[in-house]
Amino acid sequence: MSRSKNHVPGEVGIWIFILGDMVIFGLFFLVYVYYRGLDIELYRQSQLQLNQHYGALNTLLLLASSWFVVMGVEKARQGLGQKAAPFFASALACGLGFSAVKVVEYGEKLAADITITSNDFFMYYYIFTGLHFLHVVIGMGVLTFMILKTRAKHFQSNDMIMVESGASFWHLVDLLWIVLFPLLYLMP
Amino acid sequence: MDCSLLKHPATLIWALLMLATALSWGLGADSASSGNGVMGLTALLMAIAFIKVRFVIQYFMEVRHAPLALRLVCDGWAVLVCGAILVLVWMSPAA
Amino acid sequence: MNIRSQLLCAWCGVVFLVLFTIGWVLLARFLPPPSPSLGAEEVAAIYQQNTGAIRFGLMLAMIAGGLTAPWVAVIANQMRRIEGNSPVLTYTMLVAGAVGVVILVLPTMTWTVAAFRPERAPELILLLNDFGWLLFVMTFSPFFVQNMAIGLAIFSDFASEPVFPRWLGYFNIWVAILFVPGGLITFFKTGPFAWDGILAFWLPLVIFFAWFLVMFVVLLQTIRRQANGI
Repeated sequence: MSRSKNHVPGEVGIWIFILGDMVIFGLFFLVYVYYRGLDIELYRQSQLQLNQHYGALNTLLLLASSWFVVMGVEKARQGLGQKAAPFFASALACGLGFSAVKVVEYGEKLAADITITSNDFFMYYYIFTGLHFLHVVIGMGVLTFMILKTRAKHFQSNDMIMVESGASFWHLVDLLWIVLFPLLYLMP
Repeated sequence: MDCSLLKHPATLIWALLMLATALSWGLGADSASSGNGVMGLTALLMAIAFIKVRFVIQYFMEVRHAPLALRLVCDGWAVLVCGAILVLVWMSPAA
Repeated sequence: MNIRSQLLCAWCGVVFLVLFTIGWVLLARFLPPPSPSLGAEEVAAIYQQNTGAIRFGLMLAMIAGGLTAPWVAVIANQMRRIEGNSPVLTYTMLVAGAVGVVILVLPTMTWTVAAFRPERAPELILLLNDFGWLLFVMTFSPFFVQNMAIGLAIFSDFASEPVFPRWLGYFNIWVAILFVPGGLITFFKTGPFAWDGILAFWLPLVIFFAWFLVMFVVLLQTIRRQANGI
């Protein structure tokens, strides 16, 4: 299927939100890296207390969910709403998996008495991952909406723009985590 | 399962993204033990992260089919944020 | 149609920005904010050295705060055109917006109390200063609800000629989320999430001002369209 070079995925308005969020998170990243440079030992020691496997597992879960969403969009675009819905449901399952890992991770940290006020690193850790998690929760709501839309008997091509908007938002959730993961868990 | 899904370009991209994640994961694990080459390792991790970001934007979000303005803004964001992160790390007293 | 009254209300938003900037920024010099890590003596000194300008500046800022009432009303009026007979989101916006007026006015009064007797015990000045700043920066919830209500109302507009453009809905929700970091200032005395920090204070402040300007421009267009009967 050939598409023109001038197709904005989803409605134009969603891109105000997506680009706006990218700018804000970009600012978050820079603030974090700047302050990290001032006290690198503290950040490094604190980073070692994180479980890298949780971060990596969550990256893989979000990447898988994004793939499911791409495939769902492809099916919906062919007018096969019924076949698109299971893909979006799989993406939602990955989102739930991400949430479960996050809850376990937060639980372990809190049980070890590591909170938002423990030190500067954990302040950023809780706030950035928390705001990102808020995006995941909103995104799972969006995926649910997309499942309902595509399962409906009268799925029409003008519902497609909603599906594309939702898909773009879900990919944003993935994209932000791709940068948060090395910044918080891996950076030397 | 129909085969067209596996032949879809997004599937190849997805496989590359998974590999890149595994690579970063391995690099991050190494960094726990070795103390040298902070700048080089940071640059590598950030390069991997932002190449992944660009793949997600281009192939998953389908920005490669979007108007030039949107493509430029997205690429500009990636270059700017990645560049600024590296400059900040490079300028920090520890590096 | 009361086009003139609507325009008057919309302009109140801009007058608020100007008057608040003159009073709160230029006269009282509350920008940049005093660091929450300052001691009682240092905070008291701010109120003792600049007493007259602080009193007058805060008075102007207090007057400015009231002008957001007609501003909220003209937004509600346009939202009502979207919602028709059961305007729940309009009411939500109106109530939250009214609380917002209070939240803009009350901190100016709290700081005014501090400036009223600057010679009193520094510990008490510190308390009032804290109270004012926490009230001003941390209370994001009514503004969050207000912007979410505007955004959701715009999304519910399926008319062929919608009252507001749909991108304004996404913009309002984005702004709503950006107010949230303000809620974190209770935990920090320094850094980006303190009440003088880049993420909890400067970012929401800039976005808040930008929100007024964007809404103002769109409101003028919307009112003009309404006047032309579209």
